[in-house]
Amino acid sequence: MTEGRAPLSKWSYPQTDALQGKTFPSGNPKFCPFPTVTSLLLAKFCPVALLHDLLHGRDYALLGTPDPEIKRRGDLFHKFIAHIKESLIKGELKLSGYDISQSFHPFAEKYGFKFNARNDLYRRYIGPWVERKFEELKNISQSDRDKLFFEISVANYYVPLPYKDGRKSYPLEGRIDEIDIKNKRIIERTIKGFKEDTEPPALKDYQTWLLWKTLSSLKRNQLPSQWRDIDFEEFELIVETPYKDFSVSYENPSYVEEIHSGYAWIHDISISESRIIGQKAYENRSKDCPILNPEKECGLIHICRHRNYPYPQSRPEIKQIFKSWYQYLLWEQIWEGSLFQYQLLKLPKEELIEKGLILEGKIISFSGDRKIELEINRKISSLGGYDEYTIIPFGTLFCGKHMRAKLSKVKGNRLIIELISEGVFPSETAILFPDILESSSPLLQEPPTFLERQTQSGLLKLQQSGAIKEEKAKSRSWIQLLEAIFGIKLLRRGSK
Amino acid sequence: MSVPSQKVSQKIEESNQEQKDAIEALLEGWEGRHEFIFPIVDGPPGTGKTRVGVLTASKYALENNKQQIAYLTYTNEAAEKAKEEFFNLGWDSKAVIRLTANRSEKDWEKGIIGCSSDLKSLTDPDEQRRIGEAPILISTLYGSGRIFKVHSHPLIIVDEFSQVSPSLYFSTLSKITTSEYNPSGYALLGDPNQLPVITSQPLLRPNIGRFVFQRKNYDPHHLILQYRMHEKICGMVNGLREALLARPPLESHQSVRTRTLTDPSLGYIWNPNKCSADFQDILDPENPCVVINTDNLPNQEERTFGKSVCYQEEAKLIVNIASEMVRSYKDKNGEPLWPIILSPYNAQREIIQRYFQENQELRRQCLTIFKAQGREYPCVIISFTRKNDGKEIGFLGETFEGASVAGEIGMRAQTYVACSRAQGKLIILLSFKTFRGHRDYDFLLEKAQDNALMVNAKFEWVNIND
Repeated sequence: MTEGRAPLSKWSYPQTDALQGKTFPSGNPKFCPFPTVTSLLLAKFCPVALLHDLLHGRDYALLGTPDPEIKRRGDLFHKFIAHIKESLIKGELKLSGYDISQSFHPFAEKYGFKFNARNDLYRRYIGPWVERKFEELKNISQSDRDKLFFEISVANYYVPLPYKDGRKSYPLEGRIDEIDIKNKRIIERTIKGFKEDTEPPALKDYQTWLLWKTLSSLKRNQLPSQWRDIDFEEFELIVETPYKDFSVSYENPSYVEEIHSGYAWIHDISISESRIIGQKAYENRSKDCPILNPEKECGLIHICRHRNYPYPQSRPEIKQIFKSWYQYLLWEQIWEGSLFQYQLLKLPKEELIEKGLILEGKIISFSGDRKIELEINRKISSLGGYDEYTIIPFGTLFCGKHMRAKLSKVKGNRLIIELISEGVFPSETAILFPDILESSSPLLQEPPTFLERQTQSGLLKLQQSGAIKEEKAKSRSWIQLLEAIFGIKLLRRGSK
Repeated sequence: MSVPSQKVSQKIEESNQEQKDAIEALLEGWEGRHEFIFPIVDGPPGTGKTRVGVLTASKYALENNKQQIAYLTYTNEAAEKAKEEFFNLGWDSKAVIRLTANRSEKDWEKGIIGCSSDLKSLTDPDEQRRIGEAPILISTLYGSGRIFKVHSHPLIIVDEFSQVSPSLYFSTLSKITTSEYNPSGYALLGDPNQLPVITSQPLLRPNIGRFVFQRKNYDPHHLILQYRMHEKICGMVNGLREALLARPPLESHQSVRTRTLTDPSLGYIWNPNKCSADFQDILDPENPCVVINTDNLPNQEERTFGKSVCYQEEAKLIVNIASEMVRSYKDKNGEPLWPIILSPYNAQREIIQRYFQENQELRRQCLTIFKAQGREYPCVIISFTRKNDGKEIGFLGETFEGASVAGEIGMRAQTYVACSRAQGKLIILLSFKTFRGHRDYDFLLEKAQDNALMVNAKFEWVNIND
C-alpha cells in the first residue's frame, strides 16, 4: 500500500454562500469533492490510481483488469443474491426441492450474459455461495420484510474519525450491499477471493469499516424512521466472498493511519493547484504496483505503462493543454455534483425545497409495474423538465434506498414516477408497509457528472494514442488533424 | 433504399456560391498537398448550414463507395432535426439512422434505434448488419461510439459546434484512434455565437471552432445570406449580433425580405374579426415584429423545483395571444396557424403547457430555446419570463471577464437564438423595467424602435379569455 501523506489541518467544505447557491460557479471551487468510499480505497491502494480516478475518469484500478466484464460479474453476483433473498421475503420462492440455478439463468440473461458466461458464473460464484448459505436462506421468510435491506446509500457531512488522541471530521458517502437488522450485520459482498483465503480480499475490510463508520456516525433523525432505535455501533461487519465469510474488526490501526492520508491526497489532487502533485503521486505509488512488482494486479497498469508513440509529434503541446482540461473538468464535477451533495446533507430540508433542489411527496401507491404515485404537498408549478430523477422511497437523504426514476405523468398535485433502476427493487411492502413508510419521500435530480468523467477518460485515451512509424502516422487522418491543430502542420479550410 | 440523387444535385445547383464553396470544401477530404484540410463553416441563423451538411453528406454517400457518414450533434433534438432534413431530401430509414442511448426508442420505420454503446443490446445480428449498411448514421457526440462500432472510415461532420467544447471534441476523436479506424474527413458546421458550451470553467468555454481560430490563422467559410426571416425580424437579430460583436450583419435574400405570414409562400389568411380588438395590432401580419412590455401585468416571477423560473401572468398572456392566433389565422386548407412558444426557462414552458391542457397541438408548440436551436417556424412567441425589482436576468445577462475568454457570449446567446427562429412573425414579451440596462436587450429595444410594434400589455389582457 501507499506511503502516507500529511493529514490536512481541516477539510475544505463549501462556504455558506456556495451552499446557498449565492456563489457563481467558476474556476477552482476552493472546496473539495464529496469523497466516496471508492476514492478512499483508491487513495489507500495507490495515489496514482486516485489521480486517474479524479483527473482521468478511470476508477477501475481495484478491479485488477481494465475489462469491464469483471465489474458486471460482480454486480450480477450481488444483484442475484439480493433478488433471491427478496423473493424469499415476498414469498415468491420456496427453497425445498428447488434448484436455484433455474432462477439464475433467466435473471442473468436479462443482464445480457450469454449461456456459457452464465454457466461459468454459476459454477465459480453463485453455486459455491448457495451451497454455503442454503440453510441460512431457508430461514428467510415474510417476517423479514423490514429486516433485510439491499443497496442502501449512506452519506454524512461530518464523519468523525479517530486522529491521535482526538478526532477529525470529513464527509463520506458510499453504498452498503446488505444491512441485516435481525442478525445485526453489515455485509460487503465480492466475487474476489479464493477458497483457501485466510483473510478478506484486499481492501474489502477497509471498505466495510468505512461504510459502517459512515452509517454509525449518523444522528438518529438522519436515519430511516424505524431504524432510529438501532445502535449500528454494535453491528457485526462481514465481508462475504463466494467461498467464505470474514468478520472485520472495528479497531484496526492501519485504517486510521491511512484514512487521513487518503483525504489529504483527495484534497491535494483536486484543488491544491500544486504543479508537482502528479509527480508526488508517482513518487508515492504503491509498492504493490505491478510495474514494481509484476505479481500484483492493477486495472490501470496499461495507462501507467503506456507506450510513448513518437507520433503525433505535437504530443507535448497536446499533453500540456489537456492537463489543464482534466483539472477544469474535475472542478466542473465538484461545482455540479459535489456541491449538490453537500447541499443535500447540510441545508435544512425546507431550504432544499425552497431552492428547488428537492421535492417531497407522500407515496400513495406502488404498483407491480414499478410505478410510484407520489402526492406532493405543495403546488407543483414545475418539475424542471428533467427526464430522470432519483427517488428515495425508503429512508432519508442521509441513509436510504436511492432509485432512478422517470416522470411518467403529472395529475394535479400527484406525480406518477416510473422506477428505472437496474437491480433489486424493494418489495411493495418495504415501500408501503405502514411501519416503515416515511412521512415523505424525497425526489431529486442528480447532475450528470458522468459526462465530464467520460470526457476526461476520452482525452487521456487520445493523449496516449499514436503511431510508431512516420509513414503510418501520415496515413492516419486523426494524427494529422492533431498535428495541424496543435503542431506546425498547416491547417486549411479547403476549396477556395 | 431510397436514393435521392437527382434531388441532391438539384439542391446543390440551387445553392448560393458560399454554400457551394463550403460543400466543395467538405467533400475535399483531409489530405491537402502540404496541409490538413479541416473545413469550418460559420453559418448564422437561416443561412443554410445544416443544408450544407446534409447536402455534403448526401453527395458523399451517393458518390463514394464506402458510404460512411457520421453526422454528429450536441443534442438529441439537433440529431432528430438533421435526420428530418435527410428524410426531406428523399432518403429513407434504411439509409439514415439515428442512434441513441435510450433503448426503449426503437423504430426502424422512423430510423431511430436506441441501443447500448457497444451495440450488444441489439441481440439480432440482422439489426447490427442493418445499421452497418446504412450510409448515414446520426448521433450525439457523447453517443458517437455507436456509429464508430460499425463505420471505421467515416466522413465526420459535427453540426452546431457552438455547443461543443474542445475537450468534448477531442474526447470524441479518441473513439477512432485504434488501427481499424481512419476517418476520411472532418468538418464543423455552426454559428460560434449561438448556444454556448455550458460549463463553470471559463477556460473550457471557447467552443471547438473558436479554439481552432485562436490557435491557427484560420478563416472559416462564412455564410451571410439568410433565407428565413422577414427583414424586420432580421433587423432585430442584427441588433443582437451587434451586441454580441458578431459581424458582419446578415443580409436577407429577396425571397424573404418582405415575406409576412400572409405571403403566398407561407400561405396564411388572417381574419381580424376573429380576434379581440385588443390583440388586433399584435396579430396583424403587417407587423412582423411585436415587442410587448409586461411591466403593467400583476405579480412577479417565481422560482421552482430544478431552480428554474416562471412568471404566471406572462404565461397567461401568451396563452391568450396564442389562442387568438389559432382562431384568426388559417392556412389555405383551413388549418390553424400553430405559433411556437419559446422560453429560456423550462418552468415557464411547463406552465404555459399546462394552460393548454385542452389543446394538445398547442401544448406541443411550447419549447425551451435550447430545443428550438436549428429550427425555423412561421410564427414565434417568446416569453423572457424574468420580472423582478432587482433587474436580475440571470444567465440571460451572463458576461465573462478576462481577455482569455473574450468573445465568449455564454447563455446570452439564448436571446439571439430565440429571435432568429421566426420567419414571418416574432412576438416578444418582456419586462422593460427588468431587462433595460442589460446590453443585449438595450440593443434589441433600440432596434425595435425601427423594426417592431412596441406595445404595453394591459392588466386585463391576462384574463381576456377566461
